[in-house]
Amino acid sequence: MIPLEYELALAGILFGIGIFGIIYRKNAIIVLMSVEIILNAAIMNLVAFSSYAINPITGDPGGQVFAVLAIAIAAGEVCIGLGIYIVYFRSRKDINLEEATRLR
Amino acid sequence: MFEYALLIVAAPLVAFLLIIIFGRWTRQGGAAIAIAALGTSFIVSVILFAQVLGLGALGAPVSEEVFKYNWIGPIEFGLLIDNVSALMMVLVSFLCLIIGIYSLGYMAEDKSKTRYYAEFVLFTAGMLGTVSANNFLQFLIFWETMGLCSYLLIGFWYEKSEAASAAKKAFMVTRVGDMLLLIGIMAIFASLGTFNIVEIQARGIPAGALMHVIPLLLFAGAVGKSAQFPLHIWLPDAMEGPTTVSALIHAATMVKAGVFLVARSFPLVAASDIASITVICIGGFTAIFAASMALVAFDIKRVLAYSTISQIGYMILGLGAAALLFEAGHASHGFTASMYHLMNHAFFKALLFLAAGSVIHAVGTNDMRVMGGLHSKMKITSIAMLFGALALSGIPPFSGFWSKDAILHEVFVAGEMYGAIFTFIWVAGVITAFLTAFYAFRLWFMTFAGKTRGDIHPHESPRVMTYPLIALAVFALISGMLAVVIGGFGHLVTFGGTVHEGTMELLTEIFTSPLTYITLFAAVAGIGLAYIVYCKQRVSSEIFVSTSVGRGMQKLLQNRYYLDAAYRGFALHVGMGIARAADWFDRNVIDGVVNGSAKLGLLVARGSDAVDRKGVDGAVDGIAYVVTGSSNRARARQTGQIQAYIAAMVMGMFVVALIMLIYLSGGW
Amino acid sequence: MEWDLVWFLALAIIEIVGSVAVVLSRKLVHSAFWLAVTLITMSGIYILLKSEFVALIQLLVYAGAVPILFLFGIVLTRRGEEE
Repeated sequence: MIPLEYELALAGILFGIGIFGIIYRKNAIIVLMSVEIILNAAIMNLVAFSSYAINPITGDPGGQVFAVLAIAIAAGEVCIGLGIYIVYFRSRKDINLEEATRLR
Repeated sequence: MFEYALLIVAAPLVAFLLIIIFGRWTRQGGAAIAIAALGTSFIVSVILFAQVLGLGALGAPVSEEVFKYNWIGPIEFGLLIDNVSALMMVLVSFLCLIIGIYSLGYMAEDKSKTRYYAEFVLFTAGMLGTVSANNFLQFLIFWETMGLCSYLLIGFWYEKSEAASAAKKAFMVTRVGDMLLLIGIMAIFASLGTFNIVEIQARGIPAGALMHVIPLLLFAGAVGKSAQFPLHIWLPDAMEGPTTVSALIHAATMVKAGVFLVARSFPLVAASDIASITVICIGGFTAIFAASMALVAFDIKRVLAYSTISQIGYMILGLGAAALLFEAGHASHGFTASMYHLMNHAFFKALLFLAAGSVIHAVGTNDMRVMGGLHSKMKITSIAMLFGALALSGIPPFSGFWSKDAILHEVFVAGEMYGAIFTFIWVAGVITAFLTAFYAFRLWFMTFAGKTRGDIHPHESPRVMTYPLIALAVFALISGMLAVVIGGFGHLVTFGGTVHEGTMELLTEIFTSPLTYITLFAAVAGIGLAYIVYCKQRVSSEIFVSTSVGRGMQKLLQNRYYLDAAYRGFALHVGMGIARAADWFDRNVIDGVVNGSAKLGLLVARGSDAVDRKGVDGAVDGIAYVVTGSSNRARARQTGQIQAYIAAMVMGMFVVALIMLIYLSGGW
Repeated sequence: MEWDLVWFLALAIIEIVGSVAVVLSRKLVHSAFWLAVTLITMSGIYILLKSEFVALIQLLVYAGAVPILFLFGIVLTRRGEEE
């Protein structure tokens, strides 16, 4: 059995890498990918906790159910994000986040 | 000890993947892979069946769950090996193998063979998985796999609009049943907390309304899949697919899955008298109802389709009667008889369909009116089909006789115990036997006897098609007798107590009972009438429609009792009516409320406007001055750089996390 | 038992290297590739956690669809050469 701490540590590291990507990179698509990594880290936490829940054989299926839900939502989110980028790209011919200051 | 049984289901599934990936590069479009997989399934299931029989010492039921694997929480995967599932697996894999071999000839010239074989093996895998599932959820998964494949295969020639719409119809109509089945399975889970079939059979549904509702819901699933009244309308249209597919759907898979479902939920049905009686009534009514429609069909495959519906009706009827008698403490003869009929029907219906396919292959049309006189041109097909027709009509020693007789006998016993209504159903069963014999031989005589009526140039089919026919014809002859020789089918399949009978006792019982002779007489009369009308043509077939009653009947039957039209009308008028009503409600009531509230809002707004101008403006101006000043300072922070915002947000998050950590670890 | 841990560590290393590569790759297409690697590895970790169904969904939805969507996004927002 893998200790739960290891799972959580891995999730934390991934989360950190994702945050770093969001702040450091200027390309919007990479930022969205970093968001995906963060989401994955979160989903991994859900699954890890569900599999270490009180029931020793099956764990607690609730966590897995939410993981599936989160995966579906994440996929939808990517679609919407990329859709916004494409619309934005059409109007600005560029998706560099540094220049995306029109909302100011 | 039956772990290898997994191979039976896995082989076609693996073959499906292989055909999808590599099929197009092999000659024959992956047929070799399909047949190898089906052959593997068949051999393994024969070994399994032999082992089950050996273990059960002929009769004692075996019931063992193998390969149990926990999935999520209470949901598990596993195989349930008992007499019924072992028998079904042998039947399904054998017939699928035979039909697969036959397809080599029948589909030889088709363009998309890869698609055909891939769907074919997936269909087989679905049926094998259905019969071996150890819990209802897994059962439903494979059941729906089969539903999907039936949609794909019926619409195989999707360029034809009839085929596409027939596939859609099959899918939609079975969906009605499947939805109710799903509700039933969920209701079982809600009341027992398990999907496991063995456990459910052992515990039964606790008394109450659910005890009646659940078997009825499960039976609704069977009605949809097995094309029983009132959801039978998809099956005749399903003839638009290739004939091999029709044989597959009718003989071993799909429609038999419904009967199998009733057999699996037998104790639940038996526990509820309402459910048992519903099963009996639906089965008996469907048997005679479908047989009557077969009388006027001119499409060779449609006749067989109606005959399938009618024969499945017999099986359901037998199961229902068995359920009623089982609850009253009798042995489950009817259960045995139904499974027996299922096996025999599988053989002779596959035979009839494949023979019809051979005829269609040779003639190029489905219409019996242009056939005739094919006997001299296609001897093997003709003899094979004759065997099939004799088995279907129930003439001894062909297989259909033994099992049909057993079912009708069981229904008669039920009639003796429960009064007139079952005797009435028994009479309907006998009339059905008469009609069955009549349309079976009407079909045979119209196709093979007399003179050729149309402009057709038939030829015997290639060997790869005739050899399967010969094999099936042999089974149509002996499969009934085999069971008698070993002393009754009850040795192979029973439910509850064992049914032991010797060969001689069984034969004496059958041939001393007057009931046997009544059904036999009905069948022979049907054949005789068909002979007079369609072979000798002493009496023209016009005589049936010479009276106005006859014409009315013919019109009613040809329009399938106007049920299709009724469903269509229902959808058109009631559905549209509800939509119109909703539309009216929306336009008049909801819009009225919305408009009314808008007017009210306007009124309030006017009032507040007056207050606003006078009182509030002054205060606002003052506040605005302050805000402008402070926001000018805040603006310096607002760079519009999203990433700067995010960095700030993350920092904030860390602060919150820090506070929480300190707080949770026991305060400052 | 021990093998579980070895597997986990191997997958975790791939996972971390992959996600660092996503963030630091110069070319967008490489990033998308490394993202796919990360997501597939993640499904391996789910299997180690005895959550086969989630692993399957992860493979189907995440590893299957998401990188493709990103590739679409990259193609549709390309401007001359990548960053």
